[in-house]
Amino acid sequence: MSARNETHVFEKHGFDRRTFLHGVAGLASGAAALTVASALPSACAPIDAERGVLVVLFLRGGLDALSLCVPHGDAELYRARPRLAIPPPDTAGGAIDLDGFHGLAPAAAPLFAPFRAGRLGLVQAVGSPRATRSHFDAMRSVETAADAPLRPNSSAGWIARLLESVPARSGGVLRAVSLELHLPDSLAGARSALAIPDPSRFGALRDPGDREALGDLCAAGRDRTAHAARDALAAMHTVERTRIVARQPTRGAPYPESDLGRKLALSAAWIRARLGIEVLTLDAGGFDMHRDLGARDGAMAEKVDDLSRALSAFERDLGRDLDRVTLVAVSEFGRRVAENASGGADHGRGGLALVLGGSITGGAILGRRPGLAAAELDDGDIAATTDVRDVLGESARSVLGDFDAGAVFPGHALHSVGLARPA
Amino acid sequence: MGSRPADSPRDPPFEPRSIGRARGDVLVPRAVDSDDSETSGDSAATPAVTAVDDDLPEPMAARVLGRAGFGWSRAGRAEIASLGFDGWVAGQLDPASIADPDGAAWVARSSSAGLSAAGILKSFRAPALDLRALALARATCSTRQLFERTVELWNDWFHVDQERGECRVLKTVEDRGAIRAHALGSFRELLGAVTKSGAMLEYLDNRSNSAAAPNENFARELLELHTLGTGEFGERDVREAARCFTGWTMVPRADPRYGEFEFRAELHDEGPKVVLGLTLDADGGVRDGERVLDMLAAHPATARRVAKRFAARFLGENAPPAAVAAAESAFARTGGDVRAVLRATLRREYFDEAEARGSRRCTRPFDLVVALLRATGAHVDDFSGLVDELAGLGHAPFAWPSPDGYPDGRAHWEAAFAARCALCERFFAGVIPGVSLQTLPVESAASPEEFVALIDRRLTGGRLSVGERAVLTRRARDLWPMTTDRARRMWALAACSPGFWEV
Repeated sequence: MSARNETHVFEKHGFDRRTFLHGVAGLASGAAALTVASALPSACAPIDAERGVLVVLFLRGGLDALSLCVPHGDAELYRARPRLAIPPPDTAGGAIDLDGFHGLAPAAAPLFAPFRAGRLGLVQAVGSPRATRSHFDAMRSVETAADAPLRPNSSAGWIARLLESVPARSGGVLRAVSLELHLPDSLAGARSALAIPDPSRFGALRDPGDREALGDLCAAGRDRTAHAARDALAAMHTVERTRIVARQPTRGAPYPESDLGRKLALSAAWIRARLGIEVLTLDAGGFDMHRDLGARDGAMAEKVDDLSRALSAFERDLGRDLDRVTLVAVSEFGRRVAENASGGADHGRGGLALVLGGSITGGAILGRRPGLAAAELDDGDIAATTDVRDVLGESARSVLGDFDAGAVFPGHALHSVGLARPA
Repeated sequence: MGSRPADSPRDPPFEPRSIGRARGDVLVPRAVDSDDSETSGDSAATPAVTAVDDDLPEPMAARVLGRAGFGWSRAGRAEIASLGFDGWVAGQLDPASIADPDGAAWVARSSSAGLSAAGILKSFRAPALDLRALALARATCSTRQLFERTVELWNDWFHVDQERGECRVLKTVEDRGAIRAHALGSFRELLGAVTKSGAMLEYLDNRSNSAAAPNENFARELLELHTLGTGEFGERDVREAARCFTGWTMVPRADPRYGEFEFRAELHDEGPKVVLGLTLDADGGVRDGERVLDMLAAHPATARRVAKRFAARFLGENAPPAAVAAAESAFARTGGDVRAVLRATLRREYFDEAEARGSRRCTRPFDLVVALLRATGAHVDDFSGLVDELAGLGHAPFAWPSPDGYPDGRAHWEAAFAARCALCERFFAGVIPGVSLQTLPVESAASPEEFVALIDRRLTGGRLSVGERAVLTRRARDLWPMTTDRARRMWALAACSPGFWEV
C-alpha cells in the first residue's frame, strides 16, 4: 500500500485562513451610500426574513459513516473492523448510545445534545445517484443530482434548478452564496449566485462613478457575462451596506479553530444579516482515508470531532434563527466496511448524511439499515438504501417550501426520508 | 528521468531574430521587453522590418497572441506583423529555433526546476511554490508562447494536484520530464511518460496498485480523463485496465533514483485480461500496460476529445466545426502528433471563421494576470505575490483539487467577477508585491478620447468594442484632467471590461 503520510484529498486551499472569530468586521463601517446605476436591480426592497435558508455542506473525500454513527449492535462491525471499530457503549472509548443499536463515536459527542433535542437527524446508507467509486464522478453525480453519464460542460447543478423552481424573494439580488473560491457544481448555471469567501474583501472599484462605469461596461458585453457582472455589482452594493460579522456562540463551546469552524461561523453571519439569501454552500475536505483511518483517536476521529464541534456551535450560534435554517451535510460516498491492510478503508457506497435544523424532525437514525453481513453488502460496501436526492429534496423543502421536484431531480421520484415535520 | 534536467526545447545560443528588436545582452529577468522610449503619441509598435502580412487587423492579431500565446504585447505584435500569421505559427512550432533568454533566466533562478526528486528532497527547498512562480514567469516572459500554451493545456489535461502528498516534490519532475519534454511531440509518448511519472503514480494511487490489492483510481481516470472520455467504456474495462497496470510503481524515497518508474513483476497480475475488446494473454508483464496505452492513444474517441480541447482553446467556445474536424483528422492521420494537430488548428481561415461566428475564449485568472503583465510591460522581480493573487482567485497553477484539471468554461469563472475586478484594481494601484508598473504613458494624452484610445491600444491591442470605448471615454471626460491616481483607476476600469477578458 502507499507509503504516504498524507491522507487528504480534495482539500481546497489557496485562501488565507483568517480568524473571523475575533471580530473582523464585515466591511468599513463608514461606507458611504452608493449610487447605483438605474440599470442595476434594486437591492433596497425589503427582504422577506421569514423565508428559510438551506445550507449545503459537502464533506469531500468520503466520510466514513461507521466512524461517526456506530452500529454497535451489529456484531459484523467488530468482525470486519477489528482495529477500526468504535467499541460498544459502556466500554472504554465506547460509543454513546442513541437508540439501543446505534451510537455516536466519542469524537461526535457534541452532536448528542442536538440529536436528543430533535434538531439533528442522521440518515444512514445514503447513496449518490451514480454508483461509482470515483470521487470526482460521485461528487459530480451528487451535485448534478443525476445518474446519466456526465459530459464535460455538464448540465446545471441541482441547486441552480432548485432556485429556478422557487420564486425569488423580493429584492433577491443575491440568492445563493458559496463560501468557497468558486461556485460548486451544484450551483452551475445559477443566477444571482456568487462565490464570496470573504465578505470583508468582496468588492472592487470603491468610487461610485467607477462602479457605474463598470456597470455600463458590462451591460455592453455578452449576455451571460453581463448578467453575472451585474449580479456581482448589485451584490457588492448589498454586501457593503451590511455588516456580516462572524462571532462565537453566546453559550457553550466555541467553534473549532479550523477551516470548517470559520466557514460555519461565517454562514451564521450571512444568515443573521437577513439579506434574503436562500442557499449557502460550503465544503469540508480531507475525509479520504485509505490508510491509518484512526476512527478511535486518529485522523478520522479528528475530522469527526471538528465536524461535530462546528455543527454544534453553528446550532447554538443561530439561536432562534435555527427555526428557518436547515443544514444538510452529504459526502460523495461512504467507505468500505472491511478495514484494509493499512488500517484504512477504501471507497465505499452507502454513507451517512447529517441534517441539522429547527424545521426538521431529528432525533432518529433514518433510512433503512442495510446490514453489514457479506450477503447484504454491495460489492463489499454498505448498500445504499436511500438516494441522496431524497435527503436533499426533503431538506430543501423544509425551509424553501414546495418546488417542482420533476424539474429539480429529473428522472427520480422523491421518496420521503422522514425528515419532514408532520403537517 | 534521472538527475540531468531534460528541458525541452534546448536553449540555443542567443541569436537575435531579424525583426529589429533591440536587446541588450544582459540576461536580467524581466517581465516583458518594454521599450522605455515610447512616447504618448506612439501608435501601436511599428515593426522595424517591413510587414509581410499587413492585412492582419489589430484585434485579430491580439486574439492570436491571446489564444496561441499568453497575451498581446508590443514585441509579440511586432513579431506577428513581420512574419505574418503563417510564418509566426510555423516559427512557434519550432521553439528550439526561438531564442528565449528571459525564459532561460527565470529557469536559472529557480532552485528546483532542474533537480531530480531526490535532489529536491535533499535541498529542502519549496518546489511547489517555485514551480508555480516559474509557470507564471514562463507564460509571461517566454518568447516560445505557443509552446507554453500547449504545456498549460497538457498540464490541465493530465492534471496533478501538486499539494497531494509527495506530488509536492514529484510534480516538478513530471512537468519537466513528461509534459514539457513531449508537449509538441507524440501523444502516445506523452501519455506514457505521464503514466510512468512519479507524480501521476502518486496522485492517482497507481503506485499502490497490485494484484493482491488492486486500486482502480488511475485506470479510471486514464480512460475517462486522459483518453476516451465518459460513455466510451464500462466498469469492467476500468477493472481490467487496472489489472494491466498492477506493478507499475516508482522507486521509493530513500533511493537516489526516487520517483523514477519501476515495474515490479511480483506485484503484477499475470492473468489474462480483456480491455475494451483488446485481449491480453497471461504473463504479459509490463507489456500489458503498454499495449493498453497504445490502444487508447490510437482510439478515435481520444482523437475526438483532443481535437475538441485544442479547438476550444485556440478558437473559442464556438470553434468552427471544420477546425475540430481538421484537428481530429490530423491526430488520427499522424498517430497523435501534437504539432500536426496544432498546424491543422492554427489556420488563418479558422480564426476568421471563428471571428465571424463570434467565438470567444473567456480568459481565466491566470490568463488575466499574464495578459496584464505582458500588456503593461510591468517589471517583476518575484512572482510569488502574483501566485498568491491567483490562489485567491482559485487558479494557482497545479492546485485544482480533482484530476479533471481547471475547467475551461466561462460559467465556472464568472462567479469570481468581483475578485477579478479587485485584482485589476490592485495591479494598477501598484500594491501587488514583486510587481512594479513602469510609468504608463498616459498623462500626456491631449484629450479623453486620445487617452482611451491609448489604453485600448496598449492594453488590449485594440480589442475594445465601440461601446466599451464610449463608456470609458465618458468616464475619462468626467475625470479630466488626468492625475496619476485617476489614470490608474482608468486603466483598472479598462482591464475590467469584457473586451479585455475575452480573447
